[in-house]
Amino acid sequence: MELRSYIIRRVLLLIPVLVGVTMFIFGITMLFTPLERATLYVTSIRQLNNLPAIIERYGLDRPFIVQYGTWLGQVLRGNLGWSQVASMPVAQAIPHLLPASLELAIFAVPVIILVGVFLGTKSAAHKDKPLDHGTRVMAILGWSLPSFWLGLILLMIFYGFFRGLLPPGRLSIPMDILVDSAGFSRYTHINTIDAILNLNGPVLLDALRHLVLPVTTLSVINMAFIMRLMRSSMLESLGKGYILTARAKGLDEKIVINKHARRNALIPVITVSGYLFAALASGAVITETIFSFKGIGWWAWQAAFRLDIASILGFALFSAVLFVFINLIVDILYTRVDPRVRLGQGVQ
Amino acid sequence: MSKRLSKMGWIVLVALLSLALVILPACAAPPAEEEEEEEVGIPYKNDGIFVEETIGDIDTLDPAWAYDTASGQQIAYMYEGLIGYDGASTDKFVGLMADTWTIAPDGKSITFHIRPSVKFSNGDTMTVEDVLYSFQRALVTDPYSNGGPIWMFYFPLLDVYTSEGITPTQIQNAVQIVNGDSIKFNFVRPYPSTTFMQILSGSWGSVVNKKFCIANADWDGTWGNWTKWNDPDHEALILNAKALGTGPFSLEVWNAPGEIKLVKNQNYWQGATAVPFDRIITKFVDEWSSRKLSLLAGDADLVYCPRTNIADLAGIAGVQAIKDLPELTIDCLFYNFNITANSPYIGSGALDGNGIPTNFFTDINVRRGIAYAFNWDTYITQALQGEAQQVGSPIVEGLPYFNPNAKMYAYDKAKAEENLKAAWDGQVWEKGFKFTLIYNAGNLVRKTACEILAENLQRINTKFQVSIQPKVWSGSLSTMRSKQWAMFQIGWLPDYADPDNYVVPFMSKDGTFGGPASYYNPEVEALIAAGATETDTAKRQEIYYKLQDLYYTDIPGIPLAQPLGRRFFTNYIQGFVFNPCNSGMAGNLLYLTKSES
Amino acid sequence: MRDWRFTARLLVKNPLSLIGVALIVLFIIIAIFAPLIAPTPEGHRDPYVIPRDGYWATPEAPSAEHIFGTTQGQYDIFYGCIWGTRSAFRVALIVMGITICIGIVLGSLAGYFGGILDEVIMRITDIFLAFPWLILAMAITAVLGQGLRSVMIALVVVWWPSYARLIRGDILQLREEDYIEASRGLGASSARVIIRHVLPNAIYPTLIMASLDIGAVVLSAAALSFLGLGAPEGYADWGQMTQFARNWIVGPPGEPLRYWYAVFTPGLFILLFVLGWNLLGDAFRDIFDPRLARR
Repeated sequence: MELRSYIIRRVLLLIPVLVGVTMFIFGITMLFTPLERATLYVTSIRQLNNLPAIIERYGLDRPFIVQYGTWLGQVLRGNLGWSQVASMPVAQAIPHLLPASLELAIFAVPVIILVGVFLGTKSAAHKDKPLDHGTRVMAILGWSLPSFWLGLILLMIFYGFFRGLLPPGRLSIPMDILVDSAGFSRYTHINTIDAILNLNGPVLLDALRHLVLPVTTLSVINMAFIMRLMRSSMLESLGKGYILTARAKGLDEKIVINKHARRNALIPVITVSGYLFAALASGAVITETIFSFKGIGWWAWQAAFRLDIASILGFALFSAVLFVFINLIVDILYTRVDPRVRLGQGVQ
Repeated sequence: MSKRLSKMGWIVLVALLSLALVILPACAAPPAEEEEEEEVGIPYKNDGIFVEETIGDIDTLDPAWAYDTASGQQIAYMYEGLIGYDGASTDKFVGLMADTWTIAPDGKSITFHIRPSVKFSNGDTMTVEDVLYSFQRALVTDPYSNGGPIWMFYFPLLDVYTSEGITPTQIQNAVQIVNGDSIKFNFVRPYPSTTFMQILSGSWGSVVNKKFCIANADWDGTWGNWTKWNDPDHEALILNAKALGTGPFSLEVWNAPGEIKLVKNQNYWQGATAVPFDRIITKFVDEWSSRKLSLLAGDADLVYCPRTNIADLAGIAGVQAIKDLPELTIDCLFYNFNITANSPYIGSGALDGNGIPTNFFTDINVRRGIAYAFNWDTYITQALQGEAQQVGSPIVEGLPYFNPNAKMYAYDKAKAEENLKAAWDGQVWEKGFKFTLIYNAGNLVRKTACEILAENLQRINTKFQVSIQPKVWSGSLSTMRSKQWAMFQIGWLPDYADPDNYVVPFMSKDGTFGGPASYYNPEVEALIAAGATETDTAKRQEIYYKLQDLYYTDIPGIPLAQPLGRRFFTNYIQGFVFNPCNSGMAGNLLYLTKSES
Repeated sequence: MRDWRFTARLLVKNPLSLIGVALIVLFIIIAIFAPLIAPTPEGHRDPYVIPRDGYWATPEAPSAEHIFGTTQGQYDIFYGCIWGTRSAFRVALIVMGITICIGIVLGSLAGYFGGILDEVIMRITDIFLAFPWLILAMAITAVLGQGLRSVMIALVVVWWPSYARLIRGDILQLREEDYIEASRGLGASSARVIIRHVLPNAIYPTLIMASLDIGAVVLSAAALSFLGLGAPEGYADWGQMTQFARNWIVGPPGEPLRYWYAVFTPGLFILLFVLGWNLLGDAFRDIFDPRLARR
């Protein structure tokens, strides 16, 4: 199937998915009584008796279809509504909060992939030997630590015990002030990238310093998954006929593993890294909360908690689009990397 | 080769890290007694910048809308009203935008002379036009659907609670310019001036810049189509994220959510040198451990500490713990006099041992019996770590007309039994009852209060079965409003330091809580109405003493405690003055200093 | 069909899988004998609510009466961990069980019959996969009330799409096998073919995945507790207890690990439970993988 028409077909398929997801969410929020949904607009208990007025003002007791239709109509006109959680319009909130999550994902994903691939390869190459066992147990240990526990322990050690060495938050105060001042231009709001673009070393270092702990937390936990995937993928790859041939030809074992087996074993890992990136960019709630790296994940959680329906729907749209595009990219990459697969066959 | 080594290095690093994370806690098992960490204290950082880390978030920066503490605090830093509280006092005032004022002897008006030569932070001179605009704008904006704070102006001025049906003439008569340099407030009937002054001291009394507002498409000051700006949605608020005031600080940047930075107002009328900081940074950090570590690392000067964790910061070098602050807060358990039928919290809905009828709490013996079953000693010493005192009614200590000798209940098993045996002609004792207590999910103190009550009731009679259920914020508010709850715990903070602000919500049938509780006592209503507008202090005392007494005898609810407050600063911050009516933790920033010595 | 003795031997030979089996067996014993190991006090109505020894906020260190110490609010950690084993099994097995059932039904329908049915089911799984699971968990909790029941439902709703897809994928592969053709040629009905021939072979990857995912279920339940959606405070659930200890992870300076017991013990239980199932799952995979040589 031709690449362009494939892409177009996939993008068009996005629309029913978006409608489906948003309708579903809307339906779920309708399970809440209008009173409960009205509590979003109330910041203090004093406003308790205003709930009925709020219901009326925002039409919270109108039928599902009417409310959904109203929302859809506004969305099509470009108005995604107001995010109570972020105190700004939803359409503004997403690009405002995305940079923090992106920054985490941009740094965490390479670390996770590199370490996971490395460990997985080594594990597969030395299957059932102590190295394999050790690596697997370690990886599982990392994965089964509750993420907030790991995060807080790291914070305690590297911020508490080592007196402020690796602080939470995105920037330290002097850098924070600098970054918002006239002497610093904001391009992406991703601190590391902006620092490079501004050729500002201290800000870059400060931003990196604040990234160490959250990235470590995310890596330790997610690395096991990649490691295991790589391991089983390598094992499968090593069992293939061409490996036997390569070995029979007398090729050095290192080359057999690194050049031949690994390249094919990487395919599933590539596909997974796409999803990993998307997941981190939109869902690292716990890490974002603990390290004060408030991004999309944190926003989605707060929105869900406080029944901020406009934000919830905005987030749903965003993450659905994100996943579908990642899916698309991964599928295309898949065909490039594995010539046996053709577009349109679908993965998994 | 070197690539190899770094890969090996990776594996070693990861291995060590994972192992350490598991083994480290185990190694700490033997109680670490003499950890000879020389008490370094807290490093001094960020000279000239005051950093505060707290929970929550800012709702808006618009004085006409803001009703929560976080918003109110920032507004108080950037704006000023006509007057402010004098130090720690809640009934003595200092002039801010006003320099003198006269109270009319008939109690129907107050006139404030506007201070000349005051500048906004952008250099504009503050005039009496700005003041008139500020108050009329508040009355015009009045977001009553959402439940904003402007009712506090409407009630004294026009004896209504919202701007519904209000005419421009009424607003123009309520606030006027007189003598070209003064603002006069006119009440439709006499109103206690101290109370009104207290109301003016809140964030909703802030003076805004008329030119700035109009330039940003806010109400233009004319009455042609003023309703366009009346009762807006949050999205439509002009001053939501913009601010221009005469206060000691001005808005630098609000990085919502999570951080707001204010800078010193160089044009501050008391002189830029009177402002102790160049910058204030307020960060909203939900994780206690993170806030604690920030305080100890010197990255924060003031942090919010939840009550359960105050022991964490005890005796730490460099931490300044200011304790036993007489906050004007109260926690109270309520009875619901008319529970909605088919409520899931009342079991079978009948007095058959498996539930309670919807009017269960209308019998005073039930209310008294349950009150005598609550153990204040346990609650205050254990759940509140001793940092609270019991009060007999919602009128807490520190409010005017607080009766220190008010009668209070105490845990008394015998009296509880006696009352419960008499309840509903003995049926309660014979058949027993069953209902559910709700508490705010995550709030351990409230949960504890429920558990104490439940356990004690069960000890009195095993047929008294009270179960406990958590509810998230949205659920608890909607349950309250829909009147399905049997008993509910609620807390209250002052809008202004007057007993009226307490008795209305707690005892009036139209009050925030009295309403959902369906509590109605005509004698109480009459007293409340009289007290609100009574100008004679002796008569007011009589009224509020009587109300406190009535709370004891009629017992619409069980007052749990008046918790005392705490503040945690570093030692580098000095000068904190506690005023229970300040929105924020730090109080009035002008009193603070930060220095290494 | 399988040689159980051979399987058992393989399980025991590998040291890691032996550890896995041992851990799971240990947990099963704890779960079964919980009332004996940590007896519920007299008059205490719900055994899953941890008994409370007073109302003080600060966790108490391990002592004679509280072997593992107490949490904030004086809930006994030992009791909580032991009965928490039951909660963990309940959540894990119920969630996995229901997920697999739904996955089997929908996955077989999609994989075997293909066509429109397949497209529709796949689009539905797309929607669920693209769905922000947090919101779903939140909604379910708010509607059904806080507690493990809501957690279980939320997890099932999130997990079933992956299983449906997995089973569908396996069936797609198997569908073309000769013996399936033969069976159909002999006139067997679709249901018979699915149940007797396709599923038994497709089930192994699913079971392997499931045993690995059991750990993930327990961890997700713990994460939900952190976000305020798990069991209520004082409930015997490891995730709840770990999150309850959240504010005590960092102790006073000079004694940063003073309250280690509040967070370490429940965390350790989670860790060992997850480890056990993971090792078991890995072992199953190594044993049942048809691509690896046997004997």
